[in-house]
Amino acid sequence: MSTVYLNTLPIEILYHIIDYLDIETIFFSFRSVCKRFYSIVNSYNNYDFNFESISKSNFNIICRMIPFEQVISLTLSNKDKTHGQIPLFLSLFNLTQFNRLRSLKLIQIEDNDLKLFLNSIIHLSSLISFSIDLQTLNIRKNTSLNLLSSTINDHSFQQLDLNMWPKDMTEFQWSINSTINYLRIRNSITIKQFYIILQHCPCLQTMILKDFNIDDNSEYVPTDLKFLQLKSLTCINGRIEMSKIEQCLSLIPELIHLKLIGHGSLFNSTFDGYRWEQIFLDKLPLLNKFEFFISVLTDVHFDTNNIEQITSFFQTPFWLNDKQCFVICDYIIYLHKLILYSIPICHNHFEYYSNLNKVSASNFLLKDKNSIIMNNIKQLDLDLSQIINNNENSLLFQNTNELIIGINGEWPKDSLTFLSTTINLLNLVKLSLSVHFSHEYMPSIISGTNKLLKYAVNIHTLALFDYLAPNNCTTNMETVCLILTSNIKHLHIRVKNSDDMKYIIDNVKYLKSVTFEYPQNFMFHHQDCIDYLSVLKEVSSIWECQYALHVWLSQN
Amino acid sequence: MATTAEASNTTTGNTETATGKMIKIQSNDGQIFEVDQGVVEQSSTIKTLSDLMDVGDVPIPLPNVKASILGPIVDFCNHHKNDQKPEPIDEDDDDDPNKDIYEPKRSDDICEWDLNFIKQFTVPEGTLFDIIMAANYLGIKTLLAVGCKTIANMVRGKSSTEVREMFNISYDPPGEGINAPNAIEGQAGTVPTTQDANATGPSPQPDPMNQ
Repeated sequence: MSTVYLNTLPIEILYHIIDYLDIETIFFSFRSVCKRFYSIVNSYNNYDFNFESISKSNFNIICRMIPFEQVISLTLSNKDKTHGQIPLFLSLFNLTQFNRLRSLKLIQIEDNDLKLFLNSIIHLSSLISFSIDLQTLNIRKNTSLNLLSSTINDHSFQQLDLNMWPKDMTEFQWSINSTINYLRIRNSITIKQFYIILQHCPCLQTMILKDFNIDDNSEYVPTDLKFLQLKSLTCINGRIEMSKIEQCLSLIPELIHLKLIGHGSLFNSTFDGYRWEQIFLDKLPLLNKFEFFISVLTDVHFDTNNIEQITSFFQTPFWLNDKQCFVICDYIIYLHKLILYSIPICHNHFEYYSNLNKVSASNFLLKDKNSIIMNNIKQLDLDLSQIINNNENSLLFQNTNELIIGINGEWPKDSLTFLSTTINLLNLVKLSLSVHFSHEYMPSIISGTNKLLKYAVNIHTLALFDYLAPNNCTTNMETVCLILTSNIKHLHIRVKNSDDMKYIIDNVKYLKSVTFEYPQNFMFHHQDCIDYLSVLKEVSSIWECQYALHVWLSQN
Repeated sequence: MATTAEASNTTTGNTETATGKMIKIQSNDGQIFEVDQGVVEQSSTIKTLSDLMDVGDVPIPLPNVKASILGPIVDFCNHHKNDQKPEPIDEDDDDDPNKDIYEPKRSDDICEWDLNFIKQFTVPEGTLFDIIMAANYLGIKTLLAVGCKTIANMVRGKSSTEVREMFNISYDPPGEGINAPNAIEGQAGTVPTTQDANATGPSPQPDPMNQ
């Protein structure tokens, strides 16, 4: 029997454990366990205050306990679910109080709030990581963009993450910055901008962007100048245009890692392994990792024999031996969708189709690497009606935490067996369900969902949609209540009127928040609903945004 | 009397293998394990000792680790010796302000093999803490991280009472006044009496303290 207990572990190990805890657990639970933990929490000085998903009440309490000088990372969010958090924070604190802050992330910040932050950042010499997601559509006509440019250019940031509109990026003024080594731009940029950034960031090693603007064909970029600093380039969720990619790769000959996730074309070689091989041999001699997930919708007459040909180009020694690049090509027959990807899949979203719905080919024996293919998938989308359980399953989706299910009709028999053998249900926290809200199918849907929620005990968020009529509202509130289990704390549903809202609020007491969405083509008296909800004692806050009312409920 | 455990795929007694020189390490209860450089490289303590001492065939004594813990640790290091990016072990960067600043630390990324490995160590028997202590002593950062993440995953979302029960910790009231843990814990999850509709609202994310 060991003589060591959790509370007798050395302080450096307890600090290490705190590194992995969220602030709510630290301040509301861990700190209160015993005197020693209380003291250790008070002396810990690497706090990551992430307010991205905190309740209003807990935000208010934790704000009274922030040990400013012990915080190294701060995340504030103005998203729908935490609406108003950033201005509230600004009303309580001056950012300069966080004088050891090294990382600051501002999500969906408004223009005026950004100015206040930028004025304070000047005084935070320790800040090296800065991330902003601008809510404002266009900030060209005010001073924020200039202030942002000058702040970034004057400060010694090492990591920069910018989510701003392409027009604003065009206006952005770069000057020589010798500290930035990581840059993420969550929108399209032009090749010219790419060139300018490389010119001004001599230490830039990692760059992530959406794509290269395909409409940009006017600017001349000299290709004789090379930028040797960039080692890793990722393009996510944009269009993969070969001519642009080739232009870009010509500028960065010492690239080691290239990742491409997006839409390709059958007419520009994006699926052509031979072409990629030639590009890498010609332009990127040091490249050792090429990850990709490229899809395209094809002509209805697409010949499925082509997928064998596509993978055959990846069966050369270059791919199999030099690059160790193993690829799969799927053709989803009824969707006419072609997908080519390296494994393990580098995308975190995946649409699953059973083998009967697709034709697949690969440049390796699938069974050899089955266990690692899906390790990065966080969000899994599948049409349960199309899944036929033929006992071919292995536990593919170990790390998935969001499941999106469509069901056309009754809850399919044996689908729970399929789900439990294919997905690690215990890792799921969110379920989105698109079903027919008809009397005919409801008993099996209710029963099937209840059983799934019984096994997937950590699902706390449920979103319900109509399978065939996304713009209508056939959702029956009584049915919704029967589907819900007490594990569900957050609900997203479509409603017709305030009666629907009242029914949910009156009958589901364990919910903490509900997003009531209303169809755009409906005559919906949302102000009446707001007035009605505002006087309910169960409702603590309401926020209206984009055809939806976000309602937070007090604890009963 | 010391016994020798074969801890690698190589034949014991042969001190040179494809992965380099073999080294013997000895637990505090006398059991000897023979490990290769791939294992040594993962432990800053063993690496330092083997570099400093010209140990030859003499086992390096590890007085803080018993055989029942050292054996699985050798298995862990053998499994991970071909990992692509072993963490640097030749410097203590715990105080490095740049360390991991860019990414929040995650505890949901323990690989399946490590999850199954750590399951053999438990809280009631104290072996989970033994393996963490041993990983810390031997300077095996990957194993230390797996152990600490496991504890963090057990603690997350639990109330302080549940944590005390889970880890058999006796209650000693830690503070007083407005910041006393009892006062804070009592308030957690409650809703302020004045509601501002424009102010920040609760999130749809897990809010386990309210449960």
